Formats: sequence, C-alpha cells, structure tokens
Amino acid sequence: MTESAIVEATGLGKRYRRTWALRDCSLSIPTGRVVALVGPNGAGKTTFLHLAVGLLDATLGSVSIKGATAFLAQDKPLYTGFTIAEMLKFGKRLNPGWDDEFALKRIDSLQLPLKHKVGKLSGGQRAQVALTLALAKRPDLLVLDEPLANLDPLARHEVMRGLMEAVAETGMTVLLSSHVVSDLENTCDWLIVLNGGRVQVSGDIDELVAGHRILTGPAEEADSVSRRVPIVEDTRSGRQATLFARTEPVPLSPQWSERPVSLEQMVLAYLRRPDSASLPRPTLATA
Amino acid sequence: MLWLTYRQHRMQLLVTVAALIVVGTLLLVNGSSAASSRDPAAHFRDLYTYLSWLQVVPVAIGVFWGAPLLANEYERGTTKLAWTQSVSRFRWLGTKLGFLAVLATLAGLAFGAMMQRWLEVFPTNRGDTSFTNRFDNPALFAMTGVAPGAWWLLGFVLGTAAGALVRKTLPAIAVTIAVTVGLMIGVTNVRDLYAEPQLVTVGSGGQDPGGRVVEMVRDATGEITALKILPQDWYWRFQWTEAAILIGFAILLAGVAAVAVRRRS
Repeated sequence: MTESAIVEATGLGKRYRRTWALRDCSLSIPTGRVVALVGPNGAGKTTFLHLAVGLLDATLGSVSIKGATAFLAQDKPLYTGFTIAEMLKFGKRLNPGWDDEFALKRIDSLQLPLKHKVGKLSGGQRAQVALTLALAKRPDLLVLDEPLANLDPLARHEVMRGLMEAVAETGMTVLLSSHVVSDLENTCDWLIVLNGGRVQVSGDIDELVAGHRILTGPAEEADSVSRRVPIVEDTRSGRQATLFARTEPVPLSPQWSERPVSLEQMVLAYLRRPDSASLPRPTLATA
Repeated sequence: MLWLTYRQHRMQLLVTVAALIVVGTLLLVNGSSAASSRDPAAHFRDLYTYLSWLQVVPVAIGVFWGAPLLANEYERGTTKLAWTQSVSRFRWLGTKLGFLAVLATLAGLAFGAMMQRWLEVFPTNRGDTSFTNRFDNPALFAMTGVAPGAWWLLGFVLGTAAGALVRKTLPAIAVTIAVTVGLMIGVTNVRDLYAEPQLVTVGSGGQDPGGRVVEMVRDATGEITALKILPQDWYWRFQWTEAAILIGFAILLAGVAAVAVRRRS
C-alpha cells in the first residue's frame, strides 16, 4: 500500500485530428515493478508510452515520471552508418549518467565486435545494442515499446533474459508493451490492459489472477450468480453457462464448478469485453 | 553534440571540402595561365562555361546538407532515439543547425573569395567588360564577395526547414529545389532595386558613365538627355544588401524549423 509511484497519469488523453488514440487514462505504476502494458494493435500503447517519455504532448490530462528514464522505441532506431563503438559514444556524449564500463562489458558479453556497423547487425543483435544503449544510462525507469516484436524466438528469449538480468542487478522499474501475453507470463509482475484507448485493467498480476475464476454451471442459474459476483464475460451454450468472474472463492450450488484462470485467459476475457474493467478502487490519497 | 553532428554529416562535409579544393585548383591554374596570356578573354570563356553552373551550389547544399538533416531522422525514426537522451530537442536542433550553418557560410565565403581572386586576373579596362564584371554579370555577382556565403547558408537552412515540415527526405528535396531556384530567379530580378539609381545627364563629351545603365531618360523629341545608372563602386553596398536579405530569410526559416521540431504530435 505504501509503494510509491514512479509513473502517474491523470485523465490522460491524446487526440489525433478527430480520433482519440488514448482517453481518460488514469493510472499509477509502483516503483520497482516490471510492468506489462498489454492490448491489441491500435489500443493506444505506443501513444501512452510516447506521452510518458515526452515524445508527444497530451491533448488532455498529464503524465509524470519520477527519475531518469530511458526509452527504447518499437523499431529500435539506431544510426545505421555508425559502428557499435560510435553508438556507445553517442550515448556517452548525450547522457551525463552514462555507465561506459557497463556498456562495454555488455557488448563484450554479447560477443559483438565494437567495429561492426549497426546497419549490418541482425534484428536480435540490433535490439541488444539498443537495449545496451538504454541500460547504460542507468535509468530509474526503462520504457520499452514492443521490445520483442520482429524477433525470432531465440532472440526474444535472449533479449528478455538480458533485460531481466539488468532488473535483478539494479532494481529499476520497467514498463514494456506487448500484444503477445505469453511473452510476459514469467517476467512481469504488474499488468495494465489497454483497449480501444482506455485502461481496462491495472494491478498486481498475482492478485489479479487470484482474483478471477471461471464458473461453469446450468444456464438457468447463471443470472442469479451474475447478480452476486461481478462478471467479466458471460458465455452461454445451450444449457450450460460459463462465467468469467472477478471474485474470490464463492459458495455455489453443487451443480456449479469453479476453476482458476491463467494470465492469458484473463487478458483475453477482458479484451473481448471492452466495457468491463478491473481497476483499483479510488483511494483517499488520490481523491 | 558537436561530435554527433560531425559524425552524422561528415560525408557531406568532406565532399564539399573536396569540391572546393578542385574548384580552387582549376581557378588557380586557369588564372595563372591567363595572367601571362595575350588573350585572357579566351581563358575566361574556357572556364566560365562550366563555372557559371556553380550558381546552383546553394541548391545542392539545400539538397545534400539541409533536406536530409531532419527529414532523414524523422523517416528512420531516429528522432525517437535522439529526443529521449538527456539533451533537449532545442539544443539538439540548435547544435545541428548552428554548426552546419556556420560551416556552410564559411564554405560559401571561401568560394566567393576564390572567385574574387580569379576575376582580378582579368583586366576590366579594355573591350566589353560586362561579361567579366562582377557587378554587371548577375552570375558573378552571386558567386563573389559575401553573396555566396549568404546563399549557401540560405540553401542549407531552407532545406532543413523543408525537412522539418515535410518529414520525408524526397519530398523535402523537391521542395528545396523548387523554392531555392525560385528564390534565385526572384532575387536576381529585383537586385537592381536595392538602391535608387543615380541620374547622370548626358554631356557633349559622352564619357563613360562608370556604372550599369538601368534606364535611359528621353526628352519630348526622343533625344536621350540622362541615364539612370548604378555606379560600379556600389558593388559592396549591393553585396551587403543581398547578404542581409538572405540572412534575414535564413533566420526566419530557422525559426520555422525550430517551431516544427518543438511540435510534439
């Protein structure tokens, strides 16, 4: 409860011409977490991240970050004509907090020659160089936009492992977006679901997973159950009803069975029902 | 930031320096053989046929230095890299634009000085000199004195501003070419209006008025009574006027680029 927030967004909104890419987004991200920002393509993930790191100005509301931030954009932009050594020099020249020793050590452990041109690296190596550039700034918050997109499974694993090592070493907060939930299952401990420009879910992953159940039972009793517990998704097939419920264990009639949910099932249930939401109740402190 | 600017644009810088060395060598060789020749005009014509093309260098500076400066970064997404370091956008743009603007101006001034020195070889006191005259010949006017410095600067800043607005390299290049060429034609046409010409009454002797005739004044019978002329020694006055106009325009365009870069949308 006393976790301090490193990212705080209030009423954040961004409009491009007539369409809202992000709307009424209020959330806070506790320090020290590895946060997964999940949502379908076009949900507003990139917009939110760009607003957070200051690449975009908000149309409404505000977002603030406490501490030094590093950002890794989706296409992992680097100067293609530069060598890896020159890319590191770029980081050193433009960042006072640059940790050159760390950067050189990391490039060395990746077995990348410093004289190699960045443009000639493979996608995975490029991602590693870009990640090194971000990590060597020694940020309090590392923001990554789809860091695993366009990488082969081996490279995904390597990048994720490198990231997790750095987290374990420094305890920095990480905010990363993805539209593939399975990538995040064992690495992230905080989940934000963004859908259609709105925040649907924000919370601790373990608590969220423990707080949802799939209830299966006769369709005729489903309505009385859904009156008692909040239902995310309600699927009926003939006489049977499957209710995706946000609830602690509840006493049910013997015809009903309940089973726990996986992270992926939970995310999918919310994404299919953009009108349901699971957000922390407003606390007095933020009122 | 200076290192980054140099590293990103060193190809253009090196090519420009090499081109200046080549042009300088040609001017030196041609000028020294013309100085000892009986027919310097032939030497002049030999080289001038090609030299006159160098009027378009400001366009090339706009295309190769200016337009890609921002457009290429927008296109490749490296603005997202550069703008998330611990250097403000304003300093980033200021260093890039400022450093290269100074170099473009210096290169233009060096070119102007070389042209100037070359022209001095050719006598201005015999025959038809309007061709070799740096004041009367509009191409030479723009390639001598301080004008080339101002023109190269303007070409560069104009290309940069086009890149900042369009955010795509090829369209930015197209805009740069069109606008710079248009400006060059426009400025050449209004150049005679920089100062009110002097009125010289035509005497009986018919001596050389000592300047470029812009208008002939006739009386009721159609007899020429006076000439409106721009005296030769106004060369520097016109040079500085042109430089001031172009620099003013360049500052305006730098402002446009800064506003475009500050826009976060």
